[in-house]
Amino acid sequence: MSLPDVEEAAVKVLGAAVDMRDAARITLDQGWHLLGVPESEGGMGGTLADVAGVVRAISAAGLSSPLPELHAPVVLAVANRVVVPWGDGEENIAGEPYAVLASGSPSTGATLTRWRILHAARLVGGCQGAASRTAAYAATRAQFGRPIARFQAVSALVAEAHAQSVLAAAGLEAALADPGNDFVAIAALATASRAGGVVARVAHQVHGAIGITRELGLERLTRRLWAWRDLPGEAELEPLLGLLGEQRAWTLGAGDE
Amino acid sequence: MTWREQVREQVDAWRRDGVFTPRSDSWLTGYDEDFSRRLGARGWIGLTWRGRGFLDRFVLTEELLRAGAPVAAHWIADRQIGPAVARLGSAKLKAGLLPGIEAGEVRFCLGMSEPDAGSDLASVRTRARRTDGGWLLEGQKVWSSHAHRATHAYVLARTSTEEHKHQGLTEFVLDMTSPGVTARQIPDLRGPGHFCEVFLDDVFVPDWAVLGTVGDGWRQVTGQLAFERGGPERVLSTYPLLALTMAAAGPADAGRVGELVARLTALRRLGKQVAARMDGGEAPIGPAATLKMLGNRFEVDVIEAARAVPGVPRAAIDEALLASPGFSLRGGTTEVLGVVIAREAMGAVA
Ligand SMILES: Cc1cc2nc3c(=O)[nH]c(=O)nc-3n(C[C@H](O)[C@H](O)[C@H](O)COP(=O)(O)OP(=O)(O)OC[C@H]3O[C@@H](n4cnc5c(N)ncnc54)[C@H](O)[C@@H]3O)c2cc1C
Repeated sequence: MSLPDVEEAAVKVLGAAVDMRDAARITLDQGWHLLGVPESEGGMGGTLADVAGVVRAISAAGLSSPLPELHAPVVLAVANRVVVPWGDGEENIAGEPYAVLASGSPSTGATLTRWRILHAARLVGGCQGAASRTAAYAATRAQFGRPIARFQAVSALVAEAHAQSVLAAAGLEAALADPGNDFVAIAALATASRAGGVVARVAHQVHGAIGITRELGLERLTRRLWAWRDLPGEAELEPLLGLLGEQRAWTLGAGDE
Repeated sequence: MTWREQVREQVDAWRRDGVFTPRSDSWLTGYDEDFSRRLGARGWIGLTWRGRGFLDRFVLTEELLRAGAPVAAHWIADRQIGPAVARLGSAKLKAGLLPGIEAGEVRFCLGMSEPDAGSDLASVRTRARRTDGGWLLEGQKVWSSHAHRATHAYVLARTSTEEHKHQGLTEFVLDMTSPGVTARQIPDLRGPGHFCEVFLDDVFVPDWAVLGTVGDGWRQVTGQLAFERGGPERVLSTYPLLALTMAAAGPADAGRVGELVARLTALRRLGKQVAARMDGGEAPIGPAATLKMLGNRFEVDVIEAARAVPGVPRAAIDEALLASPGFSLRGGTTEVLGVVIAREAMGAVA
C-alpha cells in the first residue's frame, strides 16, 4: 500500500471503531505499528515523516489512535503526575485512555523525542481538521442574507484558525527535518499545543450553537485538541527552550541545510 | 562550509571590524550605501536572478537580519524590483539596471501608495499619458521609503481610466534624476527618516522602461506583493532585541522567552517554505500573507517580552518600539492580510 492509501484506509477503518479500546485494537490489527519499522525487521520501512503523515490524517478526521505510542512508547511527566498515554485507568476529556503511575521515571532520549514529534503531528492534524471545517462552515452558513464569511469580523477568525494550523504544520516540518534534535521537537509540540487551543476556541466561535452539539461532530476535533495540548502543555515545554542562548536557539530551524 | 556558515563568518567579521552596529528594523531604517556596495562587491545582491534562487537569498537575508546589518539601501531592489525586472523587463531595462542593482549602486524606492490609495491600492490616480516613444507620468506618491536618496523609483500608474479599477494599471521604472521628479522627506515619529512624498510632474518614461505589459499592472503587482510580504524581514525586524533579551533572561523568564523561541522556529520554517515555492516559480500570495500576519505579531511580542526581562538595554527597546507601529501596516495591513488569508482558507476547502 502506498502512503496516501494507508492514510485513507486508516481514516476509514478507524472511523468504524466503536470505542477507544476498539481503536487501539484496529491500529494493531492493521499492522500500522509496523509503519515506521525497517523492512529488514519485518516492518513497512516508512520514515518518521510517513508515520507523522498517517497520524495527521487520522486526527484531522477527528479520530483517535495510539499510533504515536506504538512507535514511541513513553512515560510522561505531566503536571506533577507520571502518565502513560493509552495506558489503562483514566480517561482524558476526549475519552482517550491513560494510566497514572504511582511511581516511575519519565522517558528521555530518542524515544521521547520521537513521541513528541508524532504527538505534535496529532495536534497539527486536529488543527487542520478544525480550521478547514471552520472555513467551510463560514463560507456556507448564511445570516443577514449573506454567508457569514462576508463579515470581516468572521473572516478574521477564519484567517486566524488557518494561520495557526499553518504555523503548527511548519513547526512540525522543522522537527521532522531534524528528528534527532529534542529541542526542535519541543518547539514543534509547544507551538502545536498553543495553536490547538486557539483553533478550538475560534472554531467554536465561528460555528455558533450548532458547533457545541454532538451531532455536528466539531467536538470530536475540539475535545481532542484540548486533551492533546496538555500532554504536557506549553507551560511545561516552553521553559525548556528559554535559556538555550541565542546561538543554539538560532540553529533550531536549520536541521536540513 | 555551508552557505549559511559562509554568510555568518563574513557578517560576524564585518560586525567585529565595526563596519556596522546591529539595530532593529535594519532592513528599513538601517540605510548605509557603503554597506550595500560592500555586499554587492561580495556578489550577494541579486541572488534570485543570478542563478542562486530564493532559498539562498532566504538564508542570506536571515543572517543579515539576525545581525541587524544595515541593508535598507538595496533592500527593495534586491527583494522585488530586481526579480520583476529580470522577469518582465525589456532587454534594455535589464541591461541598464541589473548590473547596477547587483553592485549596490542602483537603489530603488517604491511608488505604490498615494494620499487616497492606501490599502485600496487599485484606486491609484497617478496618470500615465502616451507620448512619442514613451509615457508622461503625472501625480503624487507617498510613504515612499528613502525616495530622497534613491536612484530609481518603481511607480504604479493608471494608463487608462475606462475600465474597472483593477484594469488599466501599468508598472513603470523611472530614474529619480528625470526632469519633473521631486522627492520630499516626511518626518516620522523619530524625526526625518525614510518616509517621503514624491511629486511627478509630466515625467517622461521611455517605452522600454515599462515593466511587463501595459494594462496588466494589477495582476503583476499582486504577484510582486508575495515577494514583498513573504520574506524573513516580516518576522525578524526586532530580532536584535530578542538576542539581547535572550542574553539577559534568567530562570524566571524562561517560559516567556521559550515561547518566542518555539514560535520563531516555526515561523522561520514557514518562511523557508515560502522561499521554496518561489523557487518553484510560484508567487505564493496566501502563504506570504500568513507569514506576514503571524510574523508581525511576533515582532511586537518580542518587544513586550524585552520589557519584562530585567537588564535589557532601554535604548534597544525604545528603538524597536518606535519602529513597531509600521510593522503591521507596511506591505499590507494586518486587517487586509486577514481577508487574503481567509480567502485562501476557503479556497482550500472548496
Ligand atoms: C513604515 C512604512 C513604510 C512604507 N513604505 C512604503 C513605500 O516605500 N512605498 C509605498 O508605496 N508605500 C509604503 N508604505 C505605505 C503602506 O503600503 C500603507 O501604509 C498601507 O498600504 C496602508 O495604507 P494606509 O496607511 O493609507 O492606511 P489605510 O488603508 O487608510 O488604513 C487605515 C486603517 O484602516 C484599515 N482598513 C483599510 N481598508 C480596510 C479594509 N478593506 N478592511 C479592513 N480594514 C481596512 C487598515 O487595516 C488600517 O487599520 C509604507 C508604510 C509604512 C508604515
